[in-house]
Amino acid sequence: MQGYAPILLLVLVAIAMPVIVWTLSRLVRPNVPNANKYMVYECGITPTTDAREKFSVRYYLIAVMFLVFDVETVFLYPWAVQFKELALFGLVEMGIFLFLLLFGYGYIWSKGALTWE
Amino acid sequence: MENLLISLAQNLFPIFGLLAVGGAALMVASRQAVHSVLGFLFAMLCVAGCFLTLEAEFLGIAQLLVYAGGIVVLFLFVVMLVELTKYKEKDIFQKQTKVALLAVAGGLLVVGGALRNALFGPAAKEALTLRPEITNGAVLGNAQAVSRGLFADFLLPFEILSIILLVALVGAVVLAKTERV
Amino acid sequence: MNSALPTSAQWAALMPILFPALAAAVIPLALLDRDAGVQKWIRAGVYAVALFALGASFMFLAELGKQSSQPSYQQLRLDYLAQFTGIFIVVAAALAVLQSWDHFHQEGWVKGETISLLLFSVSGMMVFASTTNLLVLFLGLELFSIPLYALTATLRSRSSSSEGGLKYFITGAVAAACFLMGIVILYGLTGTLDISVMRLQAGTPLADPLFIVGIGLLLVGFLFKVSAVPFHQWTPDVYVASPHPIAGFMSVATKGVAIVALIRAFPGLTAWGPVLGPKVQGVFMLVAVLTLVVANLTALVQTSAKRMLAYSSISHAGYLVLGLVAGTPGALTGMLFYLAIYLAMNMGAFGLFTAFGLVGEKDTYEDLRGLGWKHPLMGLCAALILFSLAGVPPLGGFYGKYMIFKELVATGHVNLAILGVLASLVSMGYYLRFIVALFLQAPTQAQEREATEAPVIQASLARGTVLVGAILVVAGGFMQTVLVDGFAHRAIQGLLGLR
Repeated sequence: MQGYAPILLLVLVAIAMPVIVWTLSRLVRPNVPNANKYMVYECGITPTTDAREKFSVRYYLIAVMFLVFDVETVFLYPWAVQFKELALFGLVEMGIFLFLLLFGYGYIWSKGALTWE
Repeated sequence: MENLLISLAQNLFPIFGLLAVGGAALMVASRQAVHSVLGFLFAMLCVAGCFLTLEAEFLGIAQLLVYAGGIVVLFLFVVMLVELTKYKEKDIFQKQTKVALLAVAGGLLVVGGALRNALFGPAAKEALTLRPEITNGAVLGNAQAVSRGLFADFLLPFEILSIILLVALVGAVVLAKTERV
Repeated sequence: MNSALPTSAQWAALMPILFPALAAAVIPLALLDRDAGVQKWIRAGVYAVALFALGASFMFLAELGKQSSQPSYQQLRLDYLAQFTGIFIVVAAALAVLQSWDHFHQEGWVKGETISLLLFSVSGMMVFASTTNLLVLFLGLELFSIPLYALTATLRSRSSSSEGGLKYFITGAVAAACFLMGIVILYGLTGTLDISVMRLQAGTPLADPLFIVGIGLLLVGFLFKVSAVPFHQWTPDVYVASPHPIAGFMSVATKGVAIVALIRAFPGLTAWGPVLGPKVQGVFMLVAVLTLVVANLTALVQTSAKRMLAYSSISHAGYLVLGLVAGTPGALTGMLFYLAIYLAMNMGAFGLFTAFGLVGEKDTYEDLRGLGWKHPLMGLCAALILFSLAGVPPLGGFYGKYMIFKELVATGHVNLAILGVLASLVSMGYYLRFIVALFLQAPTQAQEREATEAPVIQASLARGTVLVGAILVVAGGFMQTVLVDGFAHRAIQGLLGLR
């Protein structure tokens, strides 16, 4: 666990930073509450509708596709660190793994799931 | 100060664990969907921290990549897809709080009772790291050990996994793709 | 540990799984948006590929059954039980594919991905049924569940369909999480993922309460897939939401593989040692009693025939779990025979909806009025299948129940056997209601008018599958020894190491 001391330090500094800035500004700033200040800021114009809108389900599709290939990437890493030891065997194995996902890639592409209509 | 830091460093696992539980509680309890996602993100980061303290670096990084990266994005999309403001007044999510609390308490009691041995028995005195025979000695790095398990002993499950990922792709397209007629 | 690419002998263990998986991977590629003229041929091609893959898998498994060697590769082992289950799954899937051809034409939408997802599910089920390694078991569970979640919600235009899919997905995810937690606990305690090795350690006084929690969580996962009470709430909604052939496939195959996995994990009472064995048996007893009582009583008050069939499938889970309570080799053999007959009965019963051309939400008793006279052959098949579901003597369903009840009496559970018989009597009530609707109730005038106006329904394939189901049901009644001795008996003997 020795090697993590700098990272821990970094995390602590990162947490301390906003805390310090917040408290400082809270101490220094004038406090004049006004209902208008809590409104959504939209280029200075009074917003007419709620900022929260329903998004298209297409975003969800994109997210799932991203997730699948993200998981795939995770499995590439252990292959890379043992690349020499696994030799041809590992290449074949990873080839099958990637090939199957290539099917999926070809499918979503040809299906037009990647185009934004 | 120095003593505090040392004891802090020695108890990183329980600290991360408790923080993760706190994040999960925030996720369940908060009324704003986005806050829930943030709670989830926090919990996942803490779990990654737990993995790191157990010297399971690969798992920690994978946790960050997949959960803190991918799944949080997915959840944010879902939050955006659903117009939750419609349901805010109806209080639909808070109906079963009492039942849920009871169930959680019951579950805690059972699992806690079963874990009593591990928590307060002789095993509790052991240091919280992976046993050397599991990681195959300290010579190999963590990722190397994972790679050996994944590509040799668990080759078949690994390939099955790729099929599951393919199924996820096809299923998502079937459910979410609008058909061009 | 074996860490090379499979040798030719080892490929044999993978083949039956690879055929459907490869076909499933190829099919979506063929489904680009084309004009209607080409589309028709693509559809036919997709169905041909699917049936070819299933047929190849079937032939392979049948050929394996003749040989004495049982191929294995890494955590997979294609023993006799796995071969039996493989054939069971393939037949169920083939019937579902045939029915779906007609059903999708009636519903007016065809999605080739549906067939692809079905085949993925088939390969997942085969993985699930042919391993004792908990990790692979979990992967198999996910591989066959995820496509089913998507299949439930394929009728996107209906809101009840998405609702059913979402319900299935969320409850299924919770059950899978329980299952995974159970695996983690058991692995942590025993240091092995293989449940048959784990069992040996349970024989030593391993009275750790955590071990029991682990086994309990594992059971939650299994019993959810079996859809036994109290893990049954998803079943009616999901079956009603999904297309008829898919509902039939789910009710047969999911339950079947989960029961087989339970047989593999808990073969008999002595397998888990003197401490844990009786506890597990107690759980099975409780679950079976609850399932029989709740499912049969709820099925009586349904107005939708499809919903009734869903509750009836829950009640059949109860009879099957009774076999686990008895736990003798005879009872386990009886369970496998029961499953084979159950396949014919339920694929037939759900196929009836397609055979009668009932689409959309037309699945109440009202919609069935007088259809038995309009299609006499289908009416006869329906009567045979429903009487068999109720357990009327000369038919297959009776012998399945009989084998299980006999062993229950032999092991001293007379009360449970009596409860089982009573439950079958109650079930007679709701199956008869189906038959009454088919034959004794004249269609209303509105239905008559609709029938004359509607175009001729295309359902020859679905009718064929219903006919096959009915023939199998009758054959199961008169020639049950062939099935039992040929496959079921050998599978159980091989599992228990009796030969």
